[in-house]
Amino acid sequence: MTTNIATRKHVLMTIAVSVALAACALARNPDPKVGMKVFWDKGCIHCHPVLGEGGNIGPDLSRSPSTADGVELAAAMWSHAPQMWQRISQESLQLPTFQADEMEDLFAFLAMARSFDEPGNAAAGMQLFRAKRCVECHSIRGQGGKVGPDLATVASNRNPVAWVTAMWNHAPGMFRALAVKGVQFPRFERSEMVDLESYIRSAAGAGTKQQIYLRPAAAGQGAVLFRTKQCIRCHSIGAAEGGRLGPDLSRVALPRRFGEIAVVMWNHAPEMERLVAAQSIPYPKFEAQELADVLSYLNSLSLNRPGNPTAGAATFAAKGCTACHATTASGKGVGPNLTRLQQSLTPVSIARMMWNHGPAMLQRMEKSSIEWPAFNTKELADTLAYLASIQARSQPTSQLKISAEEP
Amino acid sequence: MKLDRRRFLFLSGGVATGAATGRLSLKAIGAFNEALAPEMGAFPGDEKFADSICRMCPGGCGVRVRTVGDRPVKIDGNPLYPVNRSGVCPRGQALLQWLYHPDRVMRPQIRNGEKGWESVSWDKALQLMAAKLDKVSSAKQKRVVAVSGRGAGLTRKLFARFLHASGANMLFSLPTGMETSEHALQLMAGRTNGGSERMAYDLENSSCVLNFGCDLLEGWGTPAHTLRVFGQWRDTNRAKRTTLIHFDSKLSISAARADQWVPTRPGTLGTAALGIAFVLLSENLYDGEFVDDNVFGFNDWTDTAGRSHVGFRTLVREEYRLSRVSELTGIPPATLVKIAREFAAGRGAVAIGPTQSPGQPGKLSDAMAIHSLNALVGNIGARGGVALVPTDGWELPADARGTEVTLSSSMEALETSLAGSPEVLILDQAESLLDLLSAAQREKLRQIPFVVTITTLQDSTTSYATLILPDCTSLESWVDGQAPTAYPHEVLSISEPVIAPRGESKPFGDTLLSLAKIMGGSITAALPWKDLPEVLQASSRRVAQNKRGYLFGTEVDEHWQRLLERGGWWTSDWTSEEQFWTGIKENGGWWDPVSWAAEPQRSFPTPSGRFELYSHRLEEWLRQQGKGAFSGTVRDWDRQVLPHSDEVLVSADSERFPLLLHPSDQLPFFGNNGQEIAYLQQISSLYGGMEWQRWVELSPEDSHERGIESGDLVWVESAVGKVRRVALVVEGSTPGTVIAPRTGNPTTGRWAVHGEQRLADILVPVLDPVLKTRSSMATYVNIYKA
Amino acid sequence: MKGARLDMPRWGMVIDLDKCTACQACVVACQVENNVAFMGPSEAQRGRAIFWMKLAAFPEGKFPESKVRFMPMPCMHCDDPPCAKVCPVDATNITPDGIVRQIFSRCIGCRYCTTACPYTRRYFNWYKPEWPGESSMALNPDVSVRPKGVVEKCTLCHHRLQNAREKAISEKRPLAPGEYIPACVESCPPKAMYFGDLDDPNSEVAQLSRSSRAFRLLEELGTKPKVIYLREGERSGVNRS
Repeated sequence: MTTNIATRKHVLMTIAVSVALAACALARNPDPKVGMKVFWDKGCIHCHPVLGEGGNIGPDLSRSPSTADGVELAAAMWSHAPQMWQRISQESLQLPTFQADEMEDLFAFLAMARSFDEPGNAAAGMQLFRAKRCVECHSIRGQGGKVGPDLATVASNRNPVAWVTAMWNHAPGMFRALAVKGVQFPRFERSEMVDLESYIRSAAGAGTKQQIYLRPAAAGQGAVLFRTKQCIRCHSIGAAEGGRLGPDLSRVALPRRFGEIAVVMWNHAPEMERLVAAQSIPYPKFEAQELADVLSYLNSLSLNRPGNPTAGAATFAAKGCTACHATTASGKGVGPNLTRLQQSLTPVSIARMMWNHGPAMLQRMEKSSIEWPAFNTKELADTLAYLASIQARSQPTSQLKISAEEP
Repeated sequence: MKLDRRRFLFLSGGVATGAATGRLSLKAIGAFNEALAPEMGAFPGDEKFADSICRMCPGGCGVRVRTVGDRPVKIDGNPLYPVNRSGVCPRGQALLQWLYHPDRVMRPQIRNGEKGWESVSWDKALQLMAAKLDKVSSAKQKRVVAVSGRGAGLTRKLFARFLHASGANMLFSLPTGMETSEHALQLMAGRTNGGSERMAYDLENSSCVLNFGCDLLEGWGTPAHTLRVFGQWRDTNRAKRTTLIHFDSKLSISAARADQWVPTRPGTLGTAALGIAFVLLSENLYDGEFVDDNVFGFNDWTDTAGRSHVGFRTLVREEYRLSRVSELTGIPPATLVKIAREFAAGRGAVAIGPTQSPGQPGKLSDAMAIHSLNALVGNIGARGGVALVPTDGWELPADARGTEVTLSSSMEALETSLAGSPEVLILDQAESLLDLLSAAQREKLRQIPFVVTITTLQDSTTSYATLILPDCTSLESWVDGQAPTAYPHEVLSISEPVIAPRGESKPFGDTLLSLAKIMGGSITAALPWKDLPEVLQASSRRVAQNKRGYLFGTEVDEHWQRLLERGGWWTSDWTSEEQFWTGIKENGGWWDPVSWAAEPQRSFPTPSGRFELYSHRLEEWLRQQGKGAFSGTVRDWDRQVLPHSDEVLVSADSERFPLLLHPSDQLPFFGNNGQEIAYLQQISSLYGGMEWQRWVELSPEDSHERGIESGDLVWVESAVGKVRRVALVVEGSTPGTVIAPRTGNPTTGRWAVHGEQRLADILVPVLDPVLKTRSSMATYVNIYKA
Repeated sequence: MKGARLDMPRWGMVIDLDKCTACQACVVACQVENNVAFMGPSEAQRGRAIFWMKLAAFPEGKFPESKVRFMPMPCMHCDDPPCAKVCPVDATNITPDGIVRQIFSRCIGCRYCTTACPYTRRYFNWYKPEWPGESSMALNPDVSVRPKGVVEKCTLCHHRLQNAREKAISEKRPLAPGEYIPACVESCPPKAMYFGDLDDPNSEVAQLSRSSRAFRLLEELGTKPKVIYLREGERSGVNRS
């Protein structure tokens, strides 16, 4: 029968195309540089500063906790949406809409900006140099102790990761010297390492015309190093592989900034040294670039945040979404049927849908006096998982009908 | 083709017939068009854009040339060139009038008799020059004096090496005007041995600028960059508008466009700066932390011999009280207080000056006073501040002997050499030299037996020349560019020729390489390359080794790169020397947008390790100059070393010469050249009607007193001479001063006006007591109708 | 507005006097782009130099409170142009998109328009333009060279609009903002000049024209000039558009 053959061909074509598209979507690497341009062109910079530069109406997106990962950002965006739209119209600015690529790139840009350390406070660093007693062993251009090396030699490093690498590699030697002197191992918090680095650099001053940078880190390479440096022997990544001596690094909430992750590693250095020695694993030494890659890999782990579909169903109902959105294949409602979403359900796509359709949604809701639902990170993750579970994709027939009708 | 009635009918008939019979050829139409509009010449062709580097002044901004059918028809800025990013000053816009100037020298010329020139071939010209140089170098050393006004770059380095190899002669480069301020900063902030450094300002990020006498909008730094920065200061996309205060005795364009013009008596810029310092000290507005930790000489101190010295604070508090400063400078105390408070109000304040122009580099003590303001607010090296940055520029690959060649930019040394009766004088694009010499010195130049001028146009140097070598404009040759004066980042740029050299002109770099081959021996060994691209490629290898910097890109790229580098990341635009060479040619250059530290400097390579308000090196120098046998008090000695301001300049004979003459430089003729270019002449007289002339500006009060009106011919007479000018009365200008542009009508070429004397003939230079540099800031004159 | 239609842009310019550096790059750029004849010393001294874009300087006040104001002045492209009203041969009129054009071949050189223009932005060619030597090689082939005896003035680089329009038509798309820009606006080093469609509410020129700093010259004459100036800014340190 002609119709059936045509239909089958059509099905195959559609599936082929969808697969191809999906493959494209996966294969595409979001470009943070393009994301920066999107951030400018859509006008986000008009309200939000990034790394201190930009407007001053909204929070600095490189400093706010919500840009820590995709789900958090999407949840924060969603919850703040009505405020943002109101302010945008107050400032007589245009409401931006986003293409899928644009939103992906934007997220990539924000994630990158979030991972940068801010320049440190040299004055605070000077205090730390004394308070942590570094000055007792180390000098800067001749001023200070003579036990350890003069820190002017490392002052050319521009990247905090390079600093930590230098410290990390010297840690075993430092432990011995500290024990001899009876000084406690110095632990750092948050941006203290960066402040210290800033102080040392400014004190080393005139001799450091050279600047040493690192190449942007590659998470993939970091995954490889995680294994070759034997980190995997103690630290597992998810249930699948790895040791149990140290924490599962896919479940630990690591700080976003490279410098701060490095500080966490540093603080654990004495324990780690003890444990690796007990396991007869050689103390892992790094090149600065290698450590950067590993940290990038660790950074990328926290982005896998699986949600719970059952909890998501409950959340969905509790927030009142069911009032407008149908969740069965044949259901009808005021808003679109959520079993037939064309795009994949990721934080990026939710954020995009929110910007593109949200204002219309809000208008409709206000008419019916429904309050805009706020989501926290867990709730959003669960809801996304739930929505993914109710998608009608597993039924090719209904899929076919839809594809034939909708563009 | 002359179009007369017969020809017109013939042609139009032909076209009509052709149209009727359908056999109309493009050639026929072309001929018809050409006859009607002969100036349109070639049939228009395809439009293309080519990048080049403007060399109308030594700055070297990036330009984008629109060509139609391979003819350049318009110049605009190159958006990828970081220094100017799509803007060029009016000189750049007039570049085409220079390229196609009817008075271009098209082939080498040898003087023939009193006024005549004879065209010769390049072979003959170079043989002649080689022979002369050989003779001189084998006879006595240092008998060749060479002066280059070309600006920094590879050609100048080639020239320097050539001279050195051919008899240990030195190349003199004309001053940029920044030398004195740079020297002051080096004395105070220290100088690292073994690297050459230059002074730079991060003006783009300054929030409050105190300008002591610099003609900011009339050619300071590199014009297109400074103009762009000015626009950025007032960009409504920036949250904060930068404040610009201008201290000067004349109401120039720069003064008029500033937020406030503070009329300051001539010669008292340093005093004004110390008056500001007084307020900062007495109201405790200075950066105490920086001063306590990183400044030497602020408080009173005792030296190793047990003598107690007075510190900067004591000196300023006692000798620069506002009442005294106000009396000397003419600035009301309230104004000084207000400005000082603004200056210290936030981060990113900077003071520039004094004057910093080639004819008026300023006095060392004034420069130190102004830098002391920068130190008081802790902005050395900071964002928006001032610092010494490394400068390499394009490096010539080392020759076999590893010769280090230095240039001298000391006018004093140059004058001494010129006075020593040299055999050969080479003037390389050095027209502006003639405005820095007195009439007597210029006359002496005529006694030099063999003078070679390298120039594109007939200009005032050609009248001295025995041999003229025609040079190319930057559109006709390979050009290298580098970071211009006061620019904070390192830049190395390159451009290919846009059109072939006109006539038989040849880029001077290529001329030197040819000359080296002719002269043979060690000179050929010193300059072994075939042509300019080969030199450039060889030089680029060293730069390709840099683990920093980027190829030129857009502003988006720049922002991205800065963002990455903030976090300590750098992506390389190239992976091999070949890729670097291809990339740098394609993109136009390499630069390092992050070479400005943006962190306040906390460590200084001075004897004390601190920023020295009392400079040990200056002290040592003064002792060596014989001031050690000093009979004054310790206070007098300290005052000499600390930033201070000397006595106000007064007229030696205020009866005869009551008015103070201010030589001024204008943007259209910045660098004292370009007067042959019609479009530039036309814009040279903003207050109307004085283009193509030499004029002086008077205040209504002074002109009224003398019965002078605009347009009158007047004599301007000083103690050393007099010149004739046209008077222009300008409302609101400072009484008691006369502004005289250094430039005016051209003295050569088809629009030459002969017999107008140069301003330099009546100027009485003021010598800086320490550096011995000359400034022409204090010539007293009288003006009367001619 | 003569001939204005809803689907047509209305070209206008905004000049931010706060950012202007009085460098005159715009003056020279215009002359180069439009093949404007230059004058030698004697012609210039008779006041006959031609500046389609002129930088006018206005000294004010007495020393020491003296000041100078600078205003770049192109043709104002008035929506109600006095020059067009007086031309006996319709050599000057306003196009539907707001450009006051000059048709050189129609001009009979009576110079009535040069008198009528209250901004004195029109120039008469007293001399035959000369391009000595090979300087004619640099002429812009997109712009005609005027003969002696006709009036000329700023055309908002109309030839650039034509080129841009033709390109857009051949590529079957509308003209993009920023694609058509007069030479002066393009050349400005401090980026003090803006150009675009005054009738497009989202365009930069339209938004700037509504700024609190905006003013027009001689508005009281009713010429409806389409060159808008932004007053100089304040020293308070806050940028306002």
